[in-house]
Amino acid sequence: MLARLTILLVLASPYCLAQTEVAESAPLITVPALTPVLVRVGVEISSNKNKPGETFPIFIAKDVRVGDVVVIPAGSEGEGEVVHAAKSGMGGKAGELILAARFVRVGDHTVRLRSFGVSGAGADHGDDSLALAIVAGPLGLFVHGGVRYFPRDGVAGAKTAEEVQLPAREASPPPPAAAPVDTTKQGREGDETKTS
Amino acid sequence: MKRRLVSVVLGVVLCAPFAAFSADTAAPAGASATGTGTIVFFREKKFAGGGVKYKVREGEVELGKLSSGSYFTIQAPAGKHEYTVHSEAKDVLTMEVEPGETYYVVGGISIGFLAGRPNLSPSDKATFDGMKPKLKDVTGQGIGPKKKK
Repeated sequence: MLARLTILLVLASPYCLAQTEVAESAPLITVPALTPVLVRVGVEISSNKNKPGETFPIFIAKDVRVGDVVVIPAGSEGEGEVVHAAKSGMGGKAGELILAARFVRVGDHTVRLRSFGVSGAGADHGDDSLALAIVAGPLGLFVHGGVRYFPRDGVAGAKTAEEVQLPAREASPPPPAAAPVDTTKQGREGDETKTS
Repeated sequence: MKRRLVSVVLGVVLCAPFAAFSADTAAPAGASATGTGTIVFFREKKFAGGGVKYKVREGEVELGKLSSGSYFTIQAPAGKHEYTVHSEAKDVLTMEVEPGETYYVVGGISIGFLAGRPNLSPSDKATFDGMKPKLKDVTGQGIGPKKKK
């Protein structure tokens, strides 16, 4: 009896495995390494508040397609990391910020990202500091440089780090009407974002 | 004999799902990046602090010397790097180099208590391209042991 049951199990098991594979094996699309992706940062990052090593949420800003097929839908979540953050300081020293996009999750897959083009410094007030030092001596030291910000919902380019196989996805619905622009920070020192 | 056969077959059946699972997860997700990236260190030509020169180092290794109106390039292996400049104060710039990418770093001088404080900041291609006609390429110059007279 036991032997028959065992043989039955042996014969049935490949079919069980095959069934699970079929269920997961929607046609896979090859996404080449260095495929451009647009990444939206979920929180405001500041050179004076954030520290190296801190992580922050990122989202895909626009459907990533291979041909006409969507492979990474807009809104897919991932994670970024602060690589370098230096506070603005005395003598007109500007705040500095370098960010990296680490990965994005697409269903059960994790896609590594690289080449996130967010780095730069705030306004350098070194010349102002020097000018004041000539006129007023040590007071020139107390001129501070601009803080470097990357705004919440700011978008920058990145690339996929390696070739991955992803199933086709449904295109994300068109975005809602553009949200009103937050103007409260316009004109703030170092608010401008540079991408390289 | 029959019992042994049955137990072997049972073992195979029970292990099969784990074997399949491990094959799925053994993808080379964390393969390390290889190759090098290019870093361009440059310093604007300015009267203020123009007499001050400083060396850019990674650890104890001298990479180049920045004077007012100069630039140099290095090839750095992919990965994290810390570049330092110092006089009375030390400034460290942490960068993550990715293969095939070019990065721009601008050097500057801010005033200090006793001497000018050198500083390294991330920059971009447009800024470098705007200054390049006035900059002198000093790649490989001014580094290494001092010559004895």
